[in-house]
Amino acid sequence: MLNLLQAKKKTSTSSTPSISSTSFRSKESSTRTNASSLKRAPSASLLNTHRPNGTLKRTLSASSQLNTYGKEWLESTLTSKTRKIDNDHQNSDRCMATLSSGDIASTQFHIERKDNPISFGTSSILSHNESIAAACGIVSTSSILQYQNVPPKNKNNNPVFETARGYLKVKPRRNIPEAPVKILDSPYMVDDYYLNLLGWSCHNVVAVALERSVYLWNAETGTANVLDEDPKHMVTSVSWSADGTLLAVGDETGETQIWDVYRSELLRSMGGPTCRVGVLAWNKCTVSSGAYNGVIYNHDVRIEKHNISEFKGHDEEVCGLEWRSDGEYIASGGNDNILNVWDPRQHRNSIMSRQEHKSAVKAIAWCPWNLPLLATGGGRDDKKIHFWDATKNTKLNTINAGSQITSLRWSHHYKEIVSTHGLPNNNLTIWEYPTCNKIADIHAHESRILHSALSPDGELLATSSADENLKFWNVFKHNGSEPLITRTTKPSSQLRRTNSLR
Amino acid sequence: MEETLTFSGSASFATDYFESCIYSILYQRGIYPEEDFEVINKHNARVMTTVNKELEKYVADVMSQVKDWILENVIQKLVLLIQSVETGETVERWQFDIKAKNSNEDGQLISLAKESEKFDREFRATIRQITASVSFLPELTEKCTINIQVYTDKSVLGNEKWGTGDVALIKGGGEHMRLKTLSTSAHQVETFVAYQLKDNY
Repeated sequence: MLNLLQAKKKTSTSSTPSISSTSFRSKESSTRTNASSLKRAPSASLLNTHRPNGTLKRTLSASSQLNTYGKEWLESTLTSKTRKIDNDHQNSDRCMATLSSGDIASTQFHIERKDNPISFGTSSILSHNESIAAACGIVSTSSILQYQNVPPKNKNNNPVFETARGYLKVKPRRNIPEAPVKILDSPYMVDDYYLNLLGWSCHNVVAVALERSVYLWNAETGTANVLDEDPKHMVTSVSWSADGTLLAVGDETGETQIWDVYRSELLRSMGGPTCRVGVLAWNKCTVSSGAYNGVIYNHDVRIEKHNISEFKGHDEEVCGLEWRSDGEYIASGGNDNILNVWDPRQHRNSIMSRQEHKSAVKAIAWCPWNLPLLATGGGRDDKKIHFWDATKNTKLNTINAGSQITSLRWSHHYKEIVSTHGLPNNNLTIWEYPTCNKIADIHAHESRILHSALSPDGELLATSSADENLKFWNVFKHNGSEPLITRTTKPSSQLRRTNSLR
Repeated sequence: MEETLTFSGSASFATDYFESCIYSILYQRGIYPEEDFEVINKHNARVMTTVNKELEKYVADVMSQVKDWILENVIQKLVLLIQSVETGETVERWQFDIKAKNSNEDGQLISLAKESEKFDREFRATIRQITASVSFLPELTEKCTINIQVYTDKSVLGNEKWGTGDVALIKGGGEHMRLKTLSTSAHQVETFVAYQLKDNY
């Protein structure tokens, strides 16, 4: 390189500017052609019969690549040069990557000259030829055999990755306060993992059941009142309807009551099971009650014969139940460690049934921004959060949370999910999805967190614990942006327009 | 009379070499976890061997067959394919070209001691190159598995363990790299690695 630069300088400083560096180089290469063809005269006759313009091609490609080597290269013969490269190969560790397409011409030359010991890129040429032969259906001279036994699985790959992910804490892009924004006293909170005693309506009213009474706390005004002045039975579950006017209340006798909250009026009471109703879920006008006997009863609140169907897929108490936001599917979890997904149009068999959790499945959450995605969490002996594609019946991801999972809530604004836990840490944890990185871990309560609910704006999380506190956490603070929610139904204005056309 | 390296001795040298190469590659490329391997001394070089019994059996089984084929002089290539678990696409292709030298030529008279010294030197050099190759081979981002193929003469028939394989080349040709040649008096092994060309390369 230095040689060439000096040469360039020389030509430019000389009085004749017409002599450019290119003309200088061409002159040099032509002398080199002479020199090398001269030196290789003995073998030239053999080569010429084999490939008439072989020598010319070689020198051309060499000059284009090695024109900076200088005089030493010029004077050395080609054969001595190859020997030198060979020596290099034996004594050094130098790895030289050769571009497969870069010097095909020169490698081709080497391949055709079989006596030449050095053949860079032979494999590329051979395999290329082979592939062409295979594509044309020409039988090559060798047959390819593949060892049929399956190589052993890399066992350590999965769990290591899993635990590494679970304990890897990633700094969130926003500030998540580790202190609650509000604490309410909730005396006589029943410490029962299998019940669901907390709900937050779209009108910003929090319903919490404490033994026999259901208390309604208006988060906007801060006022609280009791729903039923004269309760007779222990309340085992509450659930708000989508419009926030009706509250379903399940009790220990198996009754599901429908209350009009604003008139404080019991609209109807629907029977079915003879055992407690531990969980309720609304889908438009249908309330599904998960009972102690493992059956899920679907009640249509509008008609007299309210019991429209039953899902029988659990052997023990149903403790987790949630409809997908579009009402197409319902997921249920039981104390028998089974997770079921049901299609209401075919209520005899579940469309998905999994027994991967090793403990009761209470925490169930459908992802609002990715409809097939379902998150479920296991109890004390399981401690894992599984993510499923319910329509494909496949497991997508797993997090080892390290403690009992009592509830899961997806964020509406971030691709994140919050899990609440029981012993030993009684914490709430925010995870990023799909990376499954831990974003925040908040030591929330003195005793296990039993229930949770998200506020209608998706910012606050209410957690109710056996330590008789109801705490509010600002976990998904946002700037009022549009939620990520995927819409499956058309906006009502569009529907109305099609109606008027008809 | 000095002991000379026989044809079968050369074959076991070659399989020894293949085995060490395969373990080194599996370790270096992270196909199996670190704890599946341990370092031993072989031919005056520190090479990898496995403590994973299943993997050991898998490789040993392949090697015993390959050795037979080398003795019958019907094998041309041994190919170790690193393929994506998900797509089955070949990500990396390690190819060992095996050539039997004409045994009537001068090489036969070299003594075993001299022969093995030369072999050791070449063996060390290639193993070192495989270790060094990590520096330029692209990172394997997906879960990968391995497959072993051999190219043999047409006369060799497959059996229940060895079925017909496809030409599993790297999509788009990839990049190629030639490692050092290993030779004994009876055989010559040339090693190549082909790998996927990544966008940022």
